[in-house]
Amino acid sequence: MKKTLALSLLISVLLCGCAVNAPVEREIFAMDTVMMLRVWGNESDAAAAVAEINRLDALLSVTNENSEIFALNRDGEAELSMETYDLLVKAVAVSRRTEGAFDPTVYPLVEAWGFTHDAQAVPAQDEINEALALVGYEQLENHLDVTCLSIDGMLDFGGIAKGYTARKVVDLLQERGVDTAFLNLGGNVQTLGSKPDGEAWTVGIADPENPSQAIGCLRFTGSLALVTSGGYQRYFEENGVRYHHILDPKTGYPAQSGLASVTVLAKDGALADGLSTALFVMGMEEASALWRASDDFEVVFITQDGIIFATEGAASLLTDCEFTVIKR
Amino acid sequence: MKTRTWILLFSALAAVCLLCTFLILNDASTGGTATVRSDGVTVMTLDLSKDGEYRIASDYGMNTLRVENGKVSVISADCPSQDCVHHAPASSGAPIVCLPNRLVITFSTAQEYDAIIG
Repeated sequence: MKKTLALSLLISVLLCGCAVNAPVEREIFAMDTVMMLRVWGNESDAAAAVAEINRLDALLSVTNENSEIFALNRDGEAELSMETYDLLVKAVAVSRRTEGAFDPTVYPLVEAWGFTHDAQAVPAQDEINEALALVGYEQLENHLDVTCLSIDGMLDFGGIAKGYTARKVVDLLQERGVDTAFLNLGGNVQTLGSKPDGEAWTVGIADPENPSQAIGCLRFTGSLALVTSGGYQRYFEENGVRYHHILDPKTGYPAQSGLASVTVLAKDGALADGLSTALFVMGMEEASALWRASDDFEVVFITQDGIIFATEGAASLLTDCEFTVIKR
Repeated sequence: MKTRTWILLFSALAAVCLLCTFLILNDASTGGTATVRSDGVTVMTLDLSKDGEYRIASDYGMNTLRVENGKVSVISADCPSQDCVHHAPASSGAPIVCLPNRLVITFSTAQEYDAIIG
């Protein structure tokens, strides 16, 4: 009888083992995008991940009237929590590294072009100049040693918040004992650990000409953040000219760098998120120079002609396409 | 423990394994389906081999889907941006999303990738 019991237990454990290999999946709407989470853990782990996303959305949102960022933009100054301050420091670090190609104060320009709502149009030059006068991450630098921030323009973490959130969620999951997760926060992918079956993660890079299909695939194991910025993602046409949503904080116009998309791979989600925008604005030559001077990210570039370039580290993961390797 | 008990137990285990294998293979072989989710909840699974039109209404808004020639498209939506309507008819690849109406259409064949980003 004992043996029968033991055997039954063994079988139960084996069958449960199968169940553990299936992730808990969640699809949620937050930060103005759709997010898909796969957590190899239990229901409460997935619920904790969702709660963390919603908490950070409320904290960092530029449109939520209860957020610190909303108060700052309305009043011109606000007391920041340590968490918001932490992200501010990260954002300014990316701005410095990219000499302002990524700028968390670009919001007045985004507003002028109508990308914050659904009435996009080319603004008059005067309007662009007015917005440009309010843009400049340098106004944040003077306040980096205190948590009370005053600002002339507006602060928006839209270009970095999803990557930051992804990192915070995997940190939380790890604290809960979860070894494996795959998060897709509206195109910001963050993996935690490797798949239980040992297979590689497969992340397709969208074809700029046909974004619902992949033009190449990054295969890797372990924890990594991947973020793509592309001019095809949001745009409008006026008098036969296409204007996309990635604005150059220096000119005030959509970046014309000859690139169709930039995919950044990094351990840190916030860095990958901020850099993907910045490198798109900078163009391949300047972005490659920054990569050569750094050791914490890799890049896949797709030019407007559809040619793919990959830095050495990204090249070792890139499959299913032809590409040119960018060497150090 | 009697030999018969062992045989019974292993037969039961083998039967469960066979059933699992059948379910997994069967799921992968169907290929042409699309799952429609409204605010994160699956509301419909579309067989892409059967043409038809479907209205999906939720608290967030209304979308009309059309299945034709093995592909699904959103032919109308009461949202302001109309991104989902501009999405080409599809049977694979990245999901079709109507963000304001919280509608997501995913494809069974998309599982080639964990995600497509961009």
